[in-house]
Formats: sequence, C-alpha cells, structure tokens
Amino acid sequence: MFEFLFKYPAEQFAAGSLVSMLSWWQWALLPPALAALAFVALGYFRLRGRTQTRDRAVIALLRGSALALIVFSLSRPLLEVTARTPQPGMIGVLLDNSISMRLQDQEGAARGDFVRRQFAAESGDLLGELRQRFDVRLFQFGADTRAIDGVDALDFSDGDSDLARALEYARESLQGGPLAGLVVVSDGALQPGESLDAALLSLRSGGIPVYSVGVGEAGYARDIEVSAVRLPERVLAGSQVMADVSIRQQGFDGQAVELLVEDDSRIVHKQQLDLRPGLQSFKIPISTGDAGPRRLQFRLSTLAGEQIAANNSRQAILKVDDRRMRILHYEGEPRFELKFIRRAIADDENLGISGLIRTADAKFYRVGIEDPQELRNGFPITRDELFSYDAIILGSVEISLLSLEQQRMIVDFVSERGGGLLLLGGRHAFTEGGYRDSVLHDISPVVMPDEARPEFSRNVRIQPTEAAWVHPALLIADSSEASIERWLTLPPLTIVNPIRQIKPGATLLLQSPANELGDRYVAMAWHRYGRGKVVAFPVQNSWLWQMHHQIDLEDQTHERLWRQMLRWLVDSVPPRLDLTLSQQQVHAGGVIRLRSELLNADFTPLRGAEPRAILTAADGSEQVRPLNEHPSRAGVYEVDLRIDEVGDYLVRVELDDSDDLLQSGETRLAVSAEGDEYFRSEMNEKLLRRVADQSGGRFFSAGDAERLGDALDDNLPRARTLLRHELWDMPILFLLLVVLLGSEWSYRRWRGLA
Amino acid sequence: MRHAKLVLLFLVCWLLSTLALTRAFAQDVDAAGAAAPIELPGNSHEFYFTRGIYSGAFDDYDEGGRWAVDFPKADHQFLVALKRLSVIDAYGSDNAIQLTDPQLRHFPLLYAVEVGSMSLTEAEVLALRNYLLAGGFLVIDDFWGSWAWDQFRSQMQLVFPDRAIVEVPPEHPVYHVFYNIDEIIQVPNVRQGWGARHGGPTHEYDGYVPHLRGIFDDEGRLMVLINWNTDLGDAWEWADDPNYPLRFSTYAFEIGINFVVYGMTH
Repeated sequence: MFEFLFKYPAEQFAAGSLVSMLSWWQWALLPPALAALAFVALGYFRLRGRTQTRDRAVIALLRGSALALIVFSLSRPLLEVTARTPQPGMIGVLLDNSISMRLQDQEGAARGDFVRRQFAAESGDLLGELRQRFDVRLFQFGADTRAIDGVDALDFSDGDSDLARALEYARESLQGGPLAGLVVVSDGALQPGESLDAALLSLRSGGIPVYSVGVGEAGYARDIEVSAVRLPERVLAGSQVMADVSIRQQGFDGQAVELLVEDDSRIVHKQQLDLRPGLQSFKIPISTGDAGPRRLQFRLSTLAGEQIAANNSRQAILKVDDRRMRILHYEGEPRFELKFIRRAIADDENLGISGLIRTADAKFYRVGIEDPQELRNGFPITRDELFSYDAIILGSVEISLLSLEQQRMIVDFVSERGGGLLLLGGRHAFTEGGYRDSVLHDISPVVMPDEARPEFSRNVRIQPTEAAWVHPALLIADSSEASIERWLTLPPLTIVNPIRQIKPGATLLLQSPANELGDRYVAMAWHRYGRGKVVAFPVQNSWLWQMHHQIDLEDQTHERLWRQMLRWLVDSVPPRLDLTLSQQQVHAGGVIRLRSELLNADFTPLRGAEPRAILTAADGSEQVRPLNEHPSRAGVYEVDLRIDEVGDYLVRVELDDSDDLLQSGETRLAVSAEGDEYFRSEMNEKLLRRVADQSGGRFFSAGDAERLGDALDDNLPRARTLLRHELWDMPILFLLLVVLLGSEWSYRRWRGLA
Repeated sequence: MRHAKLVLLFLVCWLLSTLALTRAFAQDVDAAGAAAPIELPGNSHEFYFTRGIYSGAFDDYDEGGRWAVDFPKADHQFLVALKRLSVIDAYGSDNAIQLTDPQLRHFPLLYAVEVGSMSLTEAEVLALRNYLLAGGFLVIDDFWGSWAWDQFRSQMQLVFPDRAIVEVPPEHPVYHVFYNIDEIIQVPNVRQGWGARHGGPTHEYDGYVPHLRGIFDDEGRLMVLINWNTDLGDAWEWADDPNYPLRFSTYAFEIGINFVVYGMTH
C-alpha cells in the first residue's frame, strides 16, 4: 500500500533524502509568490459578508493546503537514494575443446554434446538464460584459446589444454569492459598450467570470479589406466632398468591384466598383473636395446566393459647410451676384490676400471689404464683429471692417502660433476680408515661409528631389504622372486666395518641378519648427493660370491651383480651435452620446452655458446631452431618448440666447433592428436573446485548448471549508485489534493457558502 | 766282474746318498698335519700363501708327497719377505690344501712344486680346472728337465686339453707389477747354489735354461704360471744360509712378490 501511494518502498524513504530539482531562479520566485499569496489571504480575511471567521479559517486552511501540495509538486521533489545495484556487464564463457570432451559419460552422451546443447545460439538453455542478464562472450580453449561466435566452432579435437593460459587470455580479451566474471565449462581433464595459482589470485584481486561447470562423471565405474611410467633418464646400452609403472583401476578388483612392453614395436617384456583396488605400482624389469633414445610403450590389454580404452597405453623415452664409462678404483693395498671386480666387468664394453693400488709404502701399481700417462702421479690432483672419470671406488685405503684438496675434489666430483662414488669395506675403510672426521663422511650415506674397531670381523649372510628386491642393481635373477631367493642362498661375506646406521634420506639395500642383541650391520646403502650417487658397500670380500665352494662354476651372480652395480652407479652421470624436454609426449600444436645443459671439458658450465636444436621428422624433414642462453643459469640453454604435425620426432642439439659434445645430444618426442587427454580423464572436480574457490566463484556440476545465472547475480560485483526518484507524481499527492479540494467544496455546501 | 761289482757298489752308494740328501732337504714332510687350511679368508687376512697338495707318482715312496718339498720353511720365509716389502695383509704362516678340498677356491692363489711327479686323480683334475676357470691363479715351481716337463705337461693336458702352454713374454705385467724383472735367472737348489759360488752349474738334469711359461684363459688372463728349470722355493728356504748366494734369493723374492701382486690384481 505504501509503495502504491508513495511510488517507492518505505526503506528507500528511510535511507534516502528529499531534494528538489528547482533551479536557483525558480527558488527566487518563491518569496514573491508567497508574499502574493499572503496578500491575497489577508484580503480574504478582511472580507465581510455571510461568512464567519471560523469558516474563513477552515476554507483557507483547506485551500492553502491544496495550494501547498501544488507548489510542492511543481518544485519537482526528488528522493535521493544511494543504492548497490547489480553491475550490468559481460561474462566470458570458456568452453573446453579438448579431445577428452568426446568421452561419453555425461548422462549417456558425449561431454561435448552437453556443451553444444546448453550453449547453442538459438536453443541453448544455459546460454539463453545468461544472455538475458549479461553480455555473453564465448571462448574455446584447448591447444590454444580464442573467441568464438557459437558452439559450431567446437570440434573437440585439441590434444592439450592449459587452463591458466586460457583464463589469462579471456581476461585480457575482455579487459576494458564491465567484466562480471568468467565461466569455465570443462571436464577438468586438463593441464592446470604452471601459473594457475598466480592467474587465479590475479582474477580474485581484480574482482573477477570464475564459475566452473564440471562435465562428465567424477569417477569411472569400470576403467583401467596406466597412470604413470617412471624410468631412469638414461642408462647404458645392455643394462637392465626397472620401470616403475603405476596402474589405476576401478571395477576390476581381483582380475588379471596383461602388460606388454614394446621397444619400437618389439616386445621386450610381458607380464600378468593382478589388480587390486586403487592405485598400484609395479616394478617392471626392462632390458635395454640398442643405443639411442628408445621409445618404450607400456600397454595393458583391454578388459571387457572398460569405459575408456585409450588410457591403457602410455609411452616413455629412455636414453640408451653407448658411452664407455671410466671408473677409478683406488686401493691402499692389493686385494682380491679389485681383481674380481675387474674380471666381472671384463666383457662389458661400456665399463672400464682403472685401478690404482698401493703395493708398498709410497709405491703404487696401475692396472687397467687406458693411457700410459693415466694416474702416473697417483690419485688425481687436478679437477680435470679426476672429473674425466665417471665414478670412483674407494677400497681399503686410509683417508691419509688422500689430501684435503683431493677429498674436496671427490665431494665436488659427486655433487657437481654428477659422478658416482662407491665406498667399499676393508680394514682401512670407513671409520677404520679414518674417514669418520673427513668430508667424505659428510657425503656418505651411512653414519660411521665414532670409534674404530680394527679387531672387528664378522662373517654374515647378506640379506636384501625390501628396497633391494626390485632394485635394478641388485636384481640377480630374472625375476624379483628368484632374485630374493638367490640372495638368501648366497654364502656369507665378511664385514670388518661395523656400521649400524644410515643417514636420513638414504636407502638401505643390504644388511646382515640381526644378532643376539637385535643389531644389524649395514651391508649396502646409497643416496643422492647433489647430482651424483654415493653408495656404501662395507663388505670386505664380495669376491667370495665368485670363489666360494658353494658357488657353481657357471654361476654368474658375482659378475651380474658387479656389472649391474657399476652400470647403475654411472648410468645417470650427465654427459657434457645433455638435453631434456618438458614433456616426452605432446599433442599437435602443443608447446614444449627444450632445455640443454652444456659443460666444458672440466665440467664447468659452458657459457656463450650458440647451440641449435634440430627436429627431424620420420620423413627426414628437419626444423632448426637456435637455443637461447638462460638468463640466470650458467650453461643452460632453452627454446620453446611448437610442432603442428603428428608424428615421431628425433630431437638433436648441435654445437659448432664442439669437440666430442655430440655423443648423447639426442632424444625423441612423440606428437599425437590427443596428447595426454585420455589419462585421468574423469571429470576432475577437485581441480574445477579449486579454480572456483581460489577466484571467489563457485563450482557447479552439469546437472546444477541452471543455477549458474542466479549465482552470477548473487555474486556479481555491485555498483554504488545515487538514485533520484521523482516524487511529484506520487499518487498520494493527487489523492490529498482531491481530498482537500473536495473537503473545501463539501464544507461550503454544508455551510451554505457555495 | 770286479769292475762290475765296483760299478754296482757306486750306483748303490749314489742312490742312497741322493735319497738321503733329498730327505734332508725336503724336511718336515708331514702331509697329514698340514692339509687343513688354518682360517677362512677374510676373517682376519686378505692373503694366504697357499700350497697345493696333489697326488704324485712317488707318493708311496715319499712320506707325504713331493708337493711338500721345502715346506713349510720356504713358505714362512717367503711370507716374511712379502710382509716386509709390501703392504699386503698376508697371513704369516703356511697354508696347505688338497686340490680336492672344497675350500680350495677360497684361496685364489695357489703354489705347487715338484710337479714333475704330479699324477692327478680325476677328482683333482676337475677341481683344479674349476679352480682356475673360476679365477684362481696357480704358480708352479721347482721342476727340472725334459722328463719332468713332459710329465707336468701331460697333467695340464688333462686339466686343459685345448689350451697351450706358452712362454710369458718379457713385457708381460707379471715381470713388472712390483719389481721390474728384466731377466729370468735360473735359481738353483741349495746344493747347486753352494756350488755356484765357485762357478758350479745351477741346473739340474737337462734343465739348462730357465723358463717362465703360462696358460692363459680366453680373456688373456694368466691362469697358470710355470717356473721351469728353476727353484724359487729353495732360494726362499735357504735365504738365511750365508752360503747360499744372495742374488738368487733376492731374485726369488722379487719375482715371487711379483707373482702374488699379479695374482691379486689380475
């Protein structure tokens, strides 16, 4: 009723203020008008006749009130109200165009069909509702982001999608307009992008919330997926590597699936895997093929009823080197250990041991050297000479045979050069050799006891820890089970360095059985130190695994163990030219970053070089791109590569005027139509919620999407506006005028004055 | 007839004196007491100078066998020199072992003497072959002349029918691994050594020229090192005898240490 009479709600009158729109000259006319009115009224009261004073007063009051109402209306009264009103503006709607939107798990139809249906220009329910309230701008995102006129532009064929880049693109495109928010319609099976957090923070601070609409099922009822494959980056030709394969499944508990591993279509491993709920990890032994970058395909057989078969296969690149790795073995006394290690690797063309053995005081013998000048002055005293090796074995050699500078060089050899260091047991090793207070103890994976125990000697049967069961260096039979069994039947060895503790972060691989006090001695432990590996093998005489009477003459355990151990010790030693790709598999049109690290002959960073990347397609065509020197990381060069054609590419880095740098500057890149889109392709609600929450928006499932418009209204930014409502035409004014004039007329009639 | 009796008497005397001298110089032939190795390797020492006990053609006549000639004094004296001159962690006493003992392979360096009388059983042949192929190193010493050579070679042919015995060339590391040996010297037994001081011969039988020969494996590793027409063991044993020429014992120690260092590193 109030609003009917006064045109506006009472709250607005309570919050607002009354003003007039009369200009100054109009106000200036008011006093003379009032004076004229007073003059008329005075004359009116002076009249004498049939009227009494009381009548004149009543009539004057009624007529004056009517006149006052008229004057009030003529003064253009306004109600001024400060209000927060919804900002009329644009919204950007980002539609996911990636290939995973073809998956048919949105109410029995493809995810993309939902998008087409809801955002069709004429009939789209959601688009229509949004357009009633907002200026809606559509974008598609996937391999790249671009504005589109309608959903006809969508083909759901992009192999990759970077959400951070898409959000930034939409924001920049709509900058300058009254952007009310962004809407992301996606299955969430996308790359968050390196800068997603920063992008969301920026949107939030700019008052631009992101509303996400999740399309597809949040989890599959029946699916099996190769979630991840982890391999060492590089390995020596002929080595066995252990692939860490993660498999995720739903709906196939208790069933078995066959895993095939192919090296360029040649099957190199086949295994039945028993499936258990959730994520499982399997260690798969792979024997490497020929040298060069190898593409390994890990393929699971398709099970009946699987919803997504395209995620049953995943590939990984393994760089197989044919380098000859040089190992320096330093002994403080002649020992059979060196003899049998050399013998174990004698047939291995990728490994060479140069032995330096003290045979008498100040007398050394060199064995296995590849150059007459090698080690001529004893253990290397220059960085160049030491760094020319790929690994160092320190046997029973007391620390006093290494100067402080040589000890520091060994530390740098591991941490900077990335070399391997193997500490063997012996009467002059570890604490018994004086290492406890040296810098080499700092980099050791074991805690050396404070007190030397030169009298200590125990024959122990070496036991593998769980970590050793599947360790590539310690797999001494063709399967894990057979390997464990073999370990437990090997004859005992002698430990003369009683070490019980490993450093935090180190991995214990071999140990003795517990003694009567429950103590175990460390027989092998390792950890990474800087770029290299340090392994402690405090065992005196592993050669007994070759010469023990219980070891059959044909038994290859000792040879296999040492060959694998030394290959593992050196296989990650970086060459002087190395290159890595940010992804080994990318969709057509996707961008990957190639990074190459170049080192001088003394393994210091090579600055000022001009390397170039060469991409060779299967048909032999080449693209050449120069690499740019990293602004802050010495010796590092980078370039972003975009490849539009699907195929398998050889990526090579070359350098003019280089000496032997090209030995390993190659890797491979697979460019496919779909990239990684079929992996983890169920609707990623977690990511989409994160996007909404961090930006101040809200997440909706596809079924709740009709509430999107309301939510946008509720949450849109409001503008503070000053509203002026005209009051001259309020019904109450006309009503009052009629009442006043009618009352006057009635009074006159009643008093007989009319 | 009278002359015939004199000749016969001379021959008998010669035979008896030879046997007596041989017994005297082959002292302490106590095969039963020395057959068990003392300790397992690695328990306390890296190296055990190990003497091989083998079956011989004259075992029925010798108390114990020809393997024990110069044992154990030669071994002890050699170990004294080895420990003094090198940093090898060597067990300081003798360590003799049957070729058929399962623990033979625990001792990767084996020393055997007087192999001219060697007559291996089938089990010994197999054990020795396995030992050498697994990585063992056999040093042969103190056998002289063509008859002994033929006997030893026939035994080695049982062990390795297809492997030749060849001269070890002078540039081979075994000559240089610790001492530089430029010349192979004929080391005489103690009796000849006494005589050699006065210009007497150093050889025995028709073993006029000393040789260092070997049998190599497929990778070129020396498996068997054969000192023929020389007697390093006597030189070690009699190194403390002022009448035994120093140059022979010095050489014997030098090349003996070379054998050990080579055997531990190759």
